[in-house]
Amino acid sequence: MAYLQLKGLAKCFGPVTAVNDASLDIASGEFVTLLGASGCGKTTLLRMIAGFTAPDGGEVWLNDRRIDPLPPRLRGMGFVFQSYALFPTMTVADNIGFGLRLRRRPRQEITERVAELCALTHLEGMESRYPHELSGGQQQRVALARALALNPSVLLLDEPLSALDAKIRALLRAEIRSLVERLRITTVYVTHDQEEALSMSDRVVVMDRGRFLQVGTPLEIYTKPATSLVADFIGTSNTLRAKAVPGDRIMVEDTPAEIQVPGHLRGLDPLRVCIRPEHISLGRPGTGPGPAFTGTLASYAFLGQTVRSTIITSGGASLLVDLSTQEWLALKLAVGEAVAWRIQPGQAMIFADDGTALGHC
Amino acid sequence: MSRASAYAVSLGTAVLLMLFVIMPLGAVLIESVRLRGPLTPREMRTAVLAALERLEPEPRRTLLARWGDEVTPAQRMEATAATLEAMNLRVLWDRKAPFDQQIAAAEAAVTGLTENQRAAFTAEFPVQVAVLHKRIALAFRVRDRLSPAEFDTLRSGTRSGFGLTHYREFLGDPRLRRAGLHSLFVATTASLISMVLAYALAFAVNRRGTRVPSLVRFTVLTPLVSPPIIMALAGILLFGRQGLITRGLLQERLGLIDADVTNLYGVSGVIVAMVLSFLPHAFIILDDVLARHDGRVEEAAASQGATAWQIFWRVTLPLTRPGVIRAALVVFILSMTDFGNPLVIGRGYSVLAGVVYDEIIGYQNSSLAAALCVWLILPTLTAYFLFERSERRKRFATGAATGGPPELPLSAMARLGLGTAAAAVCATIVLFYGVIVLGSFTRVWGVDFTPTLEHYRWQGAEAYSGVGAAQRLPLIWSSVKIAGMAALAGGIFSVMIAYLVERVRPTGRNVLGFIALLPGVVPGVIFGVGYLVAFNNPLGIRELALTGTAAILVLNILFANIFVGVLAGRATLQRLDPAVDEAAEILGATLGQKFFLVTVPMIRHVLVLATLYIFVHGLVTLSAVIFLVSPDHNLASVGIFLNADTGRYGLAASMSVAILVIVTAVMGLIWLAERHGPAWARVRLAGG
Ligand SMILES: Nc1ncnc2c1ncn2[C@@H]1O[C@H](COP(=O)(O)OP(=O)(O)O)[C@@H](O)[C@H]1O
Ligand SMILES: [Mg+2]
Repeated sequence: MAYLQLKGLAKCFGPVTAVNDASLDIASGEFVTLLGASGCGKTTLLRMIAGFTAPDGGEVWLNDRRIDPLPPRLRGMGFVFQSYALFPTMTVADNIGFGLRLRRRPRQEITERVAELCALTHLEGMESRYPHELSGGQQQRVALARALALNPSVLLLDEPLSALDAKIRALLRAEIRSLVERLRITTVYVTHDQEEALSMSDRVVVMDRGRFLQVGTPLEIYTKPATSLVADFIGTSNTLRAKAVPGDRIMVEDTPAEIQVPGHLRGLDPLRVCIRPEHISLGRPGTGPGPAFTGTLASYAFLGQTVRSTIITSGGASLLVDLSTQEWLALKLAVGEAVAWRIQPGQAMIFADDGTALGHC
Repeated sequence: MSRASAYAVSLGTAVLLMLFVIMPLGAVLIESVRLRGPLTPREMRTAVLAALERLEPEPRRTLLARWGDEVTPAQRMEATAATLEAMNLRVLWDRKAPFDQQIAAAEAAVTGLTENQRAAFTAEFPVQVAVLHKRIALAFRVRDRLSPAEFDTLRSGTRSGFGLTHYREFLGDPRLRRAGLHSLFVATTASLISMVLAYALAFAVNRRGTRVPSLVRFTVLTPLVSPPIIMALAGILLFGRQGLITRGLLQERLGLIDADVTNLYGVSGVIVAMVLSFLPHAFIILDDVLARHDGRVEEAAASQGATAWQIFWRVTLPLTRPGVIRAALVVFILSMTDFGNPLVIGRGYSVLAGVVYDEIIGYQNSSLAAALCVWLILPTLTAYFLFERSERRKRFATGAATGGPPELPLSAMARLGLGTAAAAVCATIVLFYGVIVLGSFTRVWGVDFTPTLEHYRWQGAEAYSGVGAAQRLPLIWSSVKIAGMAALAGGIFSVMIAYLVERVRPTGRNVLGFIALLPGVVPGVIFGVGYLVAFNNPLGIRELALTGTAAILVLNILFANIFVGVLAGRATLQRLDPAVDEAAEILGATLGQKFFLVTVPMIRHVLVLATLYIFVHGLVTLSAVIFLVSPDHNLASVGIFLNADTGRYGLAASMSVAILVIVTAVMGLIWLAERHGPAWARVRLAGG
């Protein structure tokens, strides 16, 4: 049952198409994330849902009521701004209670609700401080509490964590997720950080240049990218040229690979194969099971649990490979040495030249 | 719906700005090409013939015949002469002779006409009778067949049309031409002197040329917020015929001069008063330029072996030249349009702005005055805009500016020179203010130096306004009341315009912002003349007239000064996060709640600054309001000017001191507001 519906929303700023034909059904209580690089139209879409930006075309429906002609204040949504946008002249308590005061709720009720929200967002004891007396993370919590104060039907968050440092970010990520889960609020979350998107959401919408590339669960997005663009954007991946050859196999980089492909791929040449760095294994030439591709180790970087090495393939492409530190140390490779590399079975993602996914093998 | 209210508020603001900024300025232009004057005989005849045409032939003939019989012999003679002239015949008798002689001569002339001429004469004569003697009767006779304008022209025999006559008058009339040349001369001299002095002072303040930079700044900037013509008044008290220095010291003590002959009246006094009055305007610009200037450039030059002298002429001066030109232009415009100082201390040295004043106050010739206003500012404003445009194109880049003056030591000579200049200017200013205070406590300056408080009693018509009203207010309080009303309304209005332009962003917001800034560029005298001609008889409806009311003063002061609040408000809002406004909106705030509950608290110091600024300027402004005051609603600044102009120096001085005291108190408040403004939104009060 769709609770919040976007139907063909579009917005242009002069020659720039910020959002193009965005349609999406969001269920009640669902956590949906808009993910995409900076400038792809996420904020614009979110602002159209909130009512700050008037769409050039399309509709917004909430609970079977068309709301796009309504001004923001009549939509009953909460919005957390990237910059927090706290009222600098008001204390934390006054910030959180602002909407309640506008609605002329009894003083007693406001005080109680503010205290409740402060408890919920771990802001106890900060009530009488001013925003400039708070840390970034605390300001973020105030912004969240303020947006929740009126029990919004939908919570909209525009990159709420982008201004914070990594540690606080991870902490607040979990807090926000558990909070909206507990309150069962339908949430649309905007971020350009894929880790954030994959870890928090029920569903992720991958956007690029105003379009939806793919809508799906984090797992679907990661393992079954709909297009090579999504595969490129989510996680790190290597893209290699390939073509289908008789016997339902494909040649990667002009080297025959032991990859069985469905027969219908023949004639779709050229193809592209995407492989994630963790799905490639390395060995010394002549060792290991079955056939392998060859290449040279160009460089490597120690990342902690893993080592990321760069291989120049015999076809001249550069390939990122992640090995566990243990595996890496066992291999004892030196820069410039020849290596053999293999694609783990079932982990190659095949795409047509226009980017549409053709399956895994 | 907040969109509808945003639309309504934007529209309302636009209408107010159109009415009270654009309309007065447009009215000056229209007034300057409006012609009023008697019709020429030929035009008169055409109008009469046209009116006669409106009658049926039969009534027309009887009417003309009756009029021909009605006229007196003298009138008949006049008509005969006019008829002969209309027929291009010479009138051969002496038109200055006694009437009976002329009448006889006229009859003789008619008898002497040829056959053909006589026929033409008989046809033309009744027409001329009508033109000369029956025009008004005719007008009323055919009134219902004429348009109101045609009726008016025929009845009054005057024309109201449009043309460039008044502009040509300026070029043709030696009196006006001389005044124009005088204006050019004093404005050029004053702006050159101010520019050099202001540069020296700004240099001294920013480059450790003086040990007390903030004291110099404070002293030099004081005249910015002082009552009008205070420098001319002080000049008279010091250097006039009864001057403390000219008569008291040089004549009576030292016997060097005769103060009745050698004094500051005239062109030199005008220039001194203007320089001291407008020096702060130049100083504030150059102080800003030199304070921002990155001293590393000079240090780089020094490291290449340039001497201090070379560094100044080759590096510092070229880099600060835009500021120098801007300062000179600003003083030039201010001096061109100043009439207070020249009228008080000029004594017969007429300048163009003074003529504008005379034409309006003395002769009610607002059309000529308007044309002169345009002559007054057109060249300078053009120059100013051209300059600003060329400046925007070329901007000096000296690399990443780290700020701060150069740390190069100033030579002892330079320090001595700059220090002396700063001390001399400051001492002069202090002396001028001191003598005003002294004058306000002196019975009769130059004659009877007994200390007295009598000038502060503010008795007599010169010190009062509110004729006939139950309470008669001294001018000071009338000023406080009117400036206060303008300030309270204008402060919030200017912040609202800033909010509209920066946050509500209606279509045409840039035009809105521009119109609000216009009064900051247009000299006060023009804004005053504009209000006078626009609201004397707006749209021809007498009931809408604002002249003679207190409202016109409030409105004029308000709209002339809102630009400061608009500028400061916009600058502050641009630095604040626009999402704050949206945060309030989505929490349910209406347009009014967003403005009053969220925006105004955030920029409340701008509101305070804007309000106090309008108040202070309302107290000290002269050039605009002098055309708008009336016996019932007068202002202290006008009182100071008129009293100084008529030699009541004590009264003028006491009112000046009173204004100074109020202004000082208010500036103290501004200072407090700035000091205690929250760190996230601090704005410095820009000059001007
Ligand atoms: N108010 C605006 N005026 C003009 N262009 C805009 C405006 N807002 C956004 N854009 C443009 O629309 C595109 C999408 O912007 P935005 O929605 O802010 O992207 P994101 O939030 O994904 O970074 C960008 O190219 C941006 O430059
Ligand atoms: Mg964004």
